[in-house]
Amino acid sequence: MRKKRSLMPLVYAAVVIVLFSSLYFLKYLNVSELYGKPVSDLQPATRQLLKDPHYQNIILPDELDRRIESGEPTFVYFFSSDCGFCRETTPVLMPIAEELGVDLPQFNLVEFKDYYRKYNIVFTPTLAYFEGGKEVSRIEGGIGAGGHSADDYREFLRNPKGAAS
Amino acid sequence: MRSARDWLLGGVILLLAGFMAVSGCSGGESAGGDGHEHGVMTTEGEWHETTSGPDELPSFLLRYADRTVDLYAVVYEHMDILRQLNCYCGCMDANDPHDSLLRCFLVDVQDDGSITWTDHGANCGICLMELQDAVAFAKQGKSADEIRGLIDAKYAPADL
Repeated sequence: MRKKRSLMPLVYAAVVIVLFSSLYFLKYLNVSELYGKPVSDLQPATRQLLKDPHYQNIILPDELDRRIESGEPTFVYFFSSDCGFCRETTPVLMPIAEELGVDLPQFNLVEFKDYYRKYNIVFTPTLAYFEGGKEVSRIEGGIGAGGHSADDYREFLRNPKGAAS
Repeated sequence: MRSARDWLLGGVILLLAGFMAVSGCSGGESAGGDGHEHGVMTTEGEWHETTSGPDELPSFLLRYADRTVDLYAVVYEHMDILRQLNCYCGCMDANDPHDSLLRCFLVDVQDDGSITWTDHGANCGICLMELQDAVAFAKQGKSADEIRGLIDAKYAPADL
């Protein structure tokens, strides 16, 4: 009888610990497939874009590095989910890329801020063209007040080496 | 027997306290990034960091390009002009503490001269572009009113 009673604290302890730790791991039930992170760890502005059809070609840091280091020619659209020019530019730019058959990976800097410095990005959005592991050219600032037209982007996607930022 | 149970309960309480402390800390760190930064994450998703004065820039800038750092470095000396400029990043909408372009970079200057910075501008192409233009106009000797007019003409959305 005494032995049985002495087990109870253990049982309570186990139950309480399991409950509390499950609270911490609860967020992993809702992981964003696009970002590979729990949705609750994403910036509020990013959460708003998760289902937006214009923001579905997200590239993550490791994949971005691999893609650039491979030396293969690639465009990268550096944006920030909370940037106004990006919100104006993305819905115009993505259909142009699709029309031209260009695969345009989108990198969300606000989720991986070290990459601002790594790829020397100042004005979001920046559309950059890489070849041989290096940046060849870029177009900064976006459509409209950002200083560029939709045609500037079309031209850049067609002929990235001829265009200057 | 009784003392063994007391130990056990004590152990459980300690474990729980430790667990909560650990999970609390890790939450804070993930918000701050690498854990070396000293600042707070606001509900708007901005990172605020206080430094001793205009000569000490916030450590969050270590993650940004040199050009961004250079632009932050001239915010303080152009404070009076930036305070009068509109920011067209969408941050001046309702429910937001942003009341000028200045607020996209600098939150507050305290009585002792220490400065609270925000990383908002570093993530905001429009903010940085406006700042770059404003500083260039100021160097040309334009007045605050002239600069505001030029900035509005260039950045204000057409539908406003």
